[in-house]
Amino acid sequence: MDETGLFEPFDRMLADLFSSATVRQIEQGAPDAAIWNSLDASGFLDALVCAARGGANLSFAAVLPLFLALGRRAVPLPVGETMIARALLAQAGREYPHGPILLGVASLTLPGAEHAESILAADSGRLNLQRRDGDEAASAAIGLSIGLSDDMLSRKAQAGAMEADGAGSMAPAAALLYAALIVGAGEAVLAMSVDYALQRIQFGKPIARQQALQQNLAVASEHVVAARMACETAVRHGGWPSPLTAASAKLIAARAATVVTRIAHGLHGAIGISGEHDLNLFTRRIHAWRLAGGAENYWAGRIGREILADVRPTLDLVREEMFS
Amino acid sequence: MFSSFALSDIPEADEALRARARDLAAQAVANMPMDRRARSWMGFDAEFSRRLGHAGLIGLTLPEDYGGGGRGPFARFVIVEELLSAGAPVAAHWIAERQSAPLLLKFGTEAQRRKYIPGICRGELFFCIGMSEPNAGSDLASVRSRAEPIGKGWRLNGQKIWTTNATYSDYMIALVRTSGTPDDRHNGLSQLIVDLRLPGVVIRPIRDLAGDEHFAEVFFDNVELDSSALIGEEGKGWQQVVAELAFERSGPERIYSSLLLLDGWRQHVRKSGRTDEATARTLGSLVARFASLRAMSLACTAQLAAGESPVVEASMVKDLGTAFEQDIPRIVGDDLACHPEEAVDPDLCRTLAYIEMICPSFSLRGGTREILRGIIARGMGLR
Ligand SMILES: Cc1cc2nc3c(=O)[nH]c(=O)nc-3n(C[C@H](O)[C@H](O)[C@H](O)COP(=O)(O)OP(=O)(O)OC[C@H]3O[C@@H](n4cnc5c(N)ncnc54)[C@H](O)[C@@H]3O)c2cc1C
Repeated sequence: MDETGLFEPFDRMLADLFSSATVRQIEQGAPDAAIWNSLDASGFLDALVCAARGGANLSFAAVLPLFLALGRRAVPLPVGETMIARALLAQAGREYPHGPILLGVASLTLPGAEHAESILAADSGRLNLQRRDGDEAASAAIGLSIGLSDDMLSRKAQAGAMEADGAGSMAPAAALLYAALIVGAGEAVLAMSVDYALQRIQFGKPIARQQALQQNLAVASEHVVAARMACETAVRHGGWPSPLTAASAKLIAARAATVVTRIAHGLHGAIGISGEHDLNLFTRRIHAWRLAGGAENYWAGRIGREILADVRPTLDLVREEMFS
Repeated sequence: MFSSFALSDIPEADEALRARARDLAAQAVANMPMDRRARSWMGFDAEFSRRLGHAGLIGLTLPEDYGGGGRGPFARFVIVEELLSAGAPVAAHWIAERQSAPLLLKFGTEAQRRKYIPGICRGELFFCIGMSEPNAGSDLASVRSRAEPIGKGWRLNGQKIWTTNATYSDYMIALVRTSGTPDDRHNGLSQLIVDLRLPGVVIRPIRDLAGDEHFAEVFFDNVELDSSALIGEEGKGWQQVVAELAFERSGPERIYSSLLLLDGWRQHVRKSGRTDEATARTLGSLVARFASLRAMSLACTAQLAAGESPVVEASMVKDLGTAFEQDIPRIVGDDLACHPEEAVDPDLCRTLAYIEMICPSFSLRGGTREILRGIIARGMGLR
């Protein structure tokens, strides 16, 4: 899976930088600048940047494991977003800042917005990097730390102004990123669930022995694996994900999001509802990433409109548009 | 979790087989109404199987030495998805190719391989699976059919049920008790090849809820088999059956059963000139689900190609795949019912009615949903 040998060092770095205590601290307020500086210095933020601009020029296929790792570690900063933004800017021959960059796709919520220094929008195909002042950044604390609030809904108009419809590569890349983050976090949630089920004793035996619970977890894992496969489909040719494959990845991941979070919370019982428990570090993010840049129906509509008039049988359509 | 399960491309040489399979499938279904095509791997057509066999499209994973194609699982993947998505009547050779021949290759004697596999690859020898009995469904180890050793062979008594294609098949590979008692569970079971023309074999077709007769009851009354009927080792039938079920479950066939209905509905939607958002979403969601399942199925095939036995992963594909296959009639029916103003081709209506009736069987045959989820849970370390 880790053909480039990058996953290990990247994941180790994330483990060092983002303990659950640190994730909580970051959620409480501004992150320690040293964290971002370490990320920036690691070179990983330039993973997708072309070699001519000093980047690692990695393919999306090579970067997918890194995106998954970001989800698995519940990373609260827009790391993947910044990787994509830098690549887009470099490709356009533009300079980019060192700080965290958000992707300004049309969205109800933009996770990590409270920590972003700038936002990259694509106005009618033109990239537009806007710096955000402190106040605005603070007011953009969306979704994650405060839940689905009015604040979050009010973001819709603002994000809409940064409508990225015409932006060839940005929306699909963002969709793939959010899908991968859901998968990574979903994998973490599954692993936590299995551990907990084996430990928690009720009726004199581990709850893992209960068939109902085994069956639920089997279903949850099927959905997470399906979502990972959809992500792998979108990156399988190394290039930037096509609109159709990225849409499909996000749709399948968004479906998985609700299945895995509901089942995992059910299995954890009340302890999973307590704020102290780490489960919510993942499930809150999964929900935010599901909505970010459009959930199931948004992408289903996009795919459907694209292929409504297509006369090819479904197998040919899917093979030719998504697997070739 | 499941990190070795990764998407893989189809090798070009295998992809190159697609056109031939497609042509033959298209010829076979040219005059068939959609609801007949929707029967696909329940549609029996010996002539078609023979044609496929002679075109070299059966037994692609089997060694050339036994008449096979000497290729890998991806070759079979390509053929299977072409045949199933066209709704070609593949039932005659289906089981023999998918599991009987690989089973014989793995556990059979050289004489057994020579006797059966070439005929299977030619599309001329048909097999059925004799596992289930009236009191042994999911709990397969409780089979009671029994073969007693007599002289140099066996005397078989008992009954099988739900045996797909028993009526048309030449042979059954039966799981029976050859030693011990039902309390010995997994020990003392063996697999025997039963020639279905032998005296003492009685086959009674069972009509299904759609009026078809694809499965049957099979009775054995003092059927005498010679020693060459035994596959593998006496008493080790359980381990062999587990391997056979892995062949059965890991193919790509668990996601295509309702694809014709999806294609028919898409055609209807196009003809009706629909451009509304609800239709687009319905379509987009189904197509994305299909694509993700195909990716999972390819990942399974890659594991097979690497010599692994993806039992857990195949169970995931089958469980999620059959849910998709069962959702299609529900969703298509709901959609068409939203549009009473549209004229719907009777062929599409019949196909919908048929799939809606038969689709519960998709998550029964080859192991029920609950049993598969149990296998996955074991793979996750929960049991
Ligand atoms: C179309 C079709 C074709 C078939 N073809 C063949 C064939 O060719 N050869 C052959 O041998 N068989 C065949 N079968 C039989 C098939 O393998 C069985 O139907 C299947 O194994 C289930 O057995 P059963 O029907 O006896 O149901 P049961 O085992 O009685 O199960 C009934 C219900 O109880 C549930 N259940 C049972 N045990 C458990 C458990 N431990 N935990 C939770 N739930 C449980 C099941 O999931 C199911 O929902 C076919 C079936 C169909 C529908």
